Amino acid sequence: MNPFEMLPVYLGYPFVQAALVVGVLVALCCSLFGVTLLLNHQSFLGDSLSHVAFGAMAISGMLQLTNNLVLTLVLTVACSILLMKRGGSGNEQGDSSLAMLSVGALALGYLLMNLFSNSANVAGDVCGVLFGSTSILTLTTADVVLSLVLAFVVIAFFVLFYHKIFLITFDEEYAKAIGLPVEEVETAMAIIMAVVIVVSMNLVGALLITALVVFPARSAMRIHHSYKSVMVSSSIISVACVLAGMLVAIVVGTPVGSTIIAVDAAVYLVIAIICHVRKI
Amino acid sequence: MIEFVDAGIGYPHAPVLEHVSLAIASGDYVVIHGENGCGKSTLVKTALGIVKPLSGEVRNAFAPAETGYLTQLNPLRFDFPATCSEIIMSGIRSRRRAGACANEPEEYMWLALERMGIEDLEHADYRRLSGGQRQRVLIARALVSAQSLLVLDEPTNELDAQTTQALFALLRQLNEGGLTVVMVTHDKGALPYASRMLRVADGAVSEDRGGVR
Repeated sequence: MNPFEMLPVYLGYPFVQAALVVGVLVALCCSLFGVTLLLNHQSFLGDSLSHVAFGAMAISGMLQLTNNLVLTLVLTVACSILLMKRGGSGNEQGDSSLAMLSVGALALGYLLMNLFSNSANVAGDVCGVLFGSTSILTLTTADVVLSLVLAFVVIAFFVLFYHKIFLITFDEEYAKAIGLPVEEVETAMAIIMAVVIVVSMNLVGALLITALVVFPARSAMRIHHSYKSVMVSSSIISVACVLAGMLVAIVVGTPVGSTIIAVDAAVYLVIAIICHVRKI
Repeated sequence: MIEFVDAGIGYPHAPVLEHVSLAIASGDYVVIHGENGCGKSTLVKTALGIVKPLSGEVRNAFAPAETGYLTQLNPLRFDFPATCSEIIMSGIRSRRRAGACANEPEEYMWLALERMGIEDLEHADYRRLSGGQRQRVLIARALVSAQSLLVLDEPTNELDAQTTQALFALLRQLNEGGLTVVMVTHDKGALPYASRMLRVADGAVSEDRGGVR
């Protein structure tokens, strides 16, 4: 049977439905943060935080914690706040801090996994964490609920603080001068973003999160010139690409994370070519 | 009123001004004048609470939500996807917080666009504007949020001579209507319009002269 004819059958499986729901929610969250990170010239912040989360997971493994989520969240949130305060990669100091933290956490994680892992296939485990593997297809109900709660928090945050986020992103000094709680909003954003990164690792893996953050936002910024349309369009592009990528991956049997990113990249390429030809 | 009491101004590893003691009263039109890098911008940032004083005390009685502020053009924001109306309307949010929106918010925006001579840019893409147009959009945003205090940091950068003169005249008109204006500039053409001039040089406010108008 043609693999695509099997699609309705696949869609009937609860684990596929769970994967699609979580995929859409994570795509939504990442795309909303993506616009803000890109505009703050902090595209690699997501990547660095995912490396921190990777290192934190390895530490959890070394400590033989039954639930590695708590320690991973605490360490990633702490690093996220620290990096935000130092300006992410938006300045020279922040840029080098980001690079050092990124490679340092990755190396430490790999080292610990090699030294303390009980698994016979360390290389496979590392590859799974970095590239997402098939963990998106083995989600539990708790994972789905967690994603739902997270998506609700992220969307509520962006809706409630939309104008403040716009002002702070566009002109932080002006925002401070007119009395906006800049530090508080930035800290809240750093915390929520770290949580999104940790949860997203289940979907695309640590190394590919940057793509999920960057591609939809860049695509939207090529075709729209208002902030609001960029935010909305980035979310739609991200969700569409994740859905398309996951369906292709399920049917063809390719790695989920890589397939999603390939679709994201293809969409960006098409948009870039159209904009170039039309001189937009 | 904004009051500096023996204040040290600058950053922890780079102090700029020492022993600053001065007061800017409600209704003043102050031009802060001086060479590049002398500390003019840091002085107004300290007055607005963006930079903390290194020593002494700085008191600002103007409500932040009633303040309009023009920062210097930031090249990192030249690729920011936003329409001019989005940028100017963001200034009106603070006016709303202060409960001072007697008219429809759009009316304040249209008035600011008209005052800056950029009515045709309401829906324009900020990324595609020239430096002078960007500057006028940001001045318009400062105007819509300024109800009691307007602080402008080098507003004439990127502006042509005609627009510069029109801006100085507009600021004088707004000041005569009761708005307190503080303008940082190295343009001596601003002096005849102001009621007071502060000169910053050699790590201090070296001259404080009233009645320059």
